[in-house]
Amino acid sequence: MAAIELRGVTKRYERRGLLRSNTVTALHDVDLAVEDGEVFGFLGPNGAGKSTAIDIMLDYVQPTSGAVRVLGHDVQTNSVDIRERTGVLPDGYDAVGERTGREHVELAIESKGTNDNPEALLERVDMLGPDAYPVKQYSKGMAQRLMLAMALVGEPDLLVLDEPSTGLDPNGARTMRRIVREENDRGATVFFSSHILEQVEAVCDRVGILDGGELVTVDSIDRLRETIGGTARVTLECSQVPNGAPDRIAAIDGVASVETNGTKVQVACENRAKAPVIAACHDSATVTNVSTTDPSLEDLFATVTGGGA
Amino acid sequence: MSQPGFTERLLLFAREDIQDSVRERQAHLLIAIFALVGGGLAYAGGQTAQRRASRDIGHSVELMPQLLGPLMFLVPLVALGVVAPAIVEKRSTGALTVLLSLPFSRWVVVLGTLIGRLVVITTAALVAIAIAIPIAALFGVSVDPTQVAAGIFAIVLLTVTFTAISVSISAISRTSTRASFAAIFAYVLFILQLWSMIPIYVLSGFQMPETTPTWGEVLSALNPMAAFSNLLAAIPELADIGIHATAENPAIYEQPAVALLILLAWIVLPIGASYLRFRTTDL
Repeated sequence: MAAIELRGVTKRYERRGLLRSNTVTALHDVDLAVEDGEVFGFLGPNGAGKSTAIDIMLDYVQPTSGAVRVLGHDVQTNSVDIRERTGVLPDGYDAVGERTGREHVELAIESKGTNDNPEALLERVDMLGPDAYPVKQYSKGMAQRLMLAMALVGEPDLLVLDEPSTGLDPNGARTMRRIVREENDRGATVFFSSHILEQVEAVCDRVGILDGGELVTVDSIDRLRETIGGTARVTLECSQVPNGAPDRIAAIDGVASVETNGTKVQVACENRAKAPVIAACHDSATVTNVSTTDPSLEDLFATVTGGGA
Repeated sequence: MSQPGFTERLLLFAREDIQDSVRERQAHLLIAIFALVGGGLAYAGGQTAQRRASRDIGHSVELMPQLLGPLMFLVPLVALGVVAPAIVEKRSTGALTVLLSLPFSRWVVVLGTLIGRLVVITTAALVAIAIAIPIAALFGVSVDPTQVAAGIFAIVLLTVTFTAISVSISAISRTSTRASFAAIFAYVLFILQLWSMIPIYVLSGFQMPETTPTWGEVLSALNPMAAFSNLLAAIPELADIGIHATAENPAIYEQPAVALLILLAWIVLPIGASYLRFRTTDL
């Protein structure tokens, strides 16, 4: 059974004005199925529509058209049934009144009618201590940890985490990944969004990439890796760009593209071609600086959307 | 381990809402204000009673008419002022995002807020009466149990009505500013009788007619403040409190029973309509 199922989901935000109205399409005809028991990463640049898609799954926002089922229930008619079995770390949240961290967790426990121990949940996200302070005074990272603790109440069948690592320090991000794995081992389906590739690839079975409101691709991490083929970017700064160098570089095995810009030469290539590329320039000019970057999310997007590189 | 039902969650939500107003010291402030008003009015009534007694003027001073006049202006003011931000503020800060990630339905949010705020404001209003009674008794103001009972019933009903209107405003407003503005507008509309005066004035060709047309009378009676006065008229001594004098021979729409129905409609209709809207609103 699919834990999350979106069929033909479209969301248009309309702003009506006296003189002119404008419409923004946040999601366009998105079909997506997240299987029971998998860890699904939802990737996309800022404004791609990730949060809108999650908001629709959680019934925060109504789709303009299309159907959404979560855990076998229709989100618009059975939203409470879904939330009884779902843990959520939403985006754009704030403290409920002047409650402390612990009171937030206790509220979650009471609303779900479980016998969780707040102490244990807070311990798991490393928030024992600050739990006695009002959440209004928390930093973003602390609030994220607390919301994760609330999401874990009642061993939910589904965890929906919207940009969970926002504001987390490296330890927090590691804790987050560990908890995602633990929950998944227990049998929970985990759906989370991110714009950071590393976090997604560390834990996800499959990823979906959203761009401009459309689902561009859904695939396993390994398959995506094959697609991008480990393309790196090498930037060389030379005293002057040697004559014929771009052609010579382009001829090197494993080079995808070459661009020159003043005294800069930018090369997209596979890792194995890095050294030959530098050598090709160094032979005929003084290379003043070299920098290389590993395959980034941008490259991944470029590859899957066919937008260059 | 069984999931709580609708009622448990509703009560939980209402309880949390009450705790919010206790934590924010709002409950304390309201109770203090009402206690001061109740005590002050009873004491003032006592002074009048003693003056009358010393000059041997026949009329004694009765507590409830003394209390209800000011309370009927204070209760709507507090209900609209304090409750109007309730839901919309949670929505604009993001607290509602947290609450709706838990198994609270939107109906529970609307109804739970209504119940929670009602408990606080009703308690405050009852404190005013509770403080007034002993002070009144001490200074020789007469306290008629029937009038007290009728007064409490009417004040509670008025509190529910205006809290319901206020929660409704809060549920459908996009921003706190708009909710506050709508609440002030509602207060002026109902208290100053603009509710019926403006339509009568406009539809009579921009002048006040010498005799109010029947539809104008009906419209007046539909104002919750007028309905409150008409309801009180069930107890003759309490008839002349309020924003308009009650007629000697009330028309059908001015009868206390009809007034009761009008107040109930002012509770049910705004809450129902605003919920239908809130249910499908994007956060």
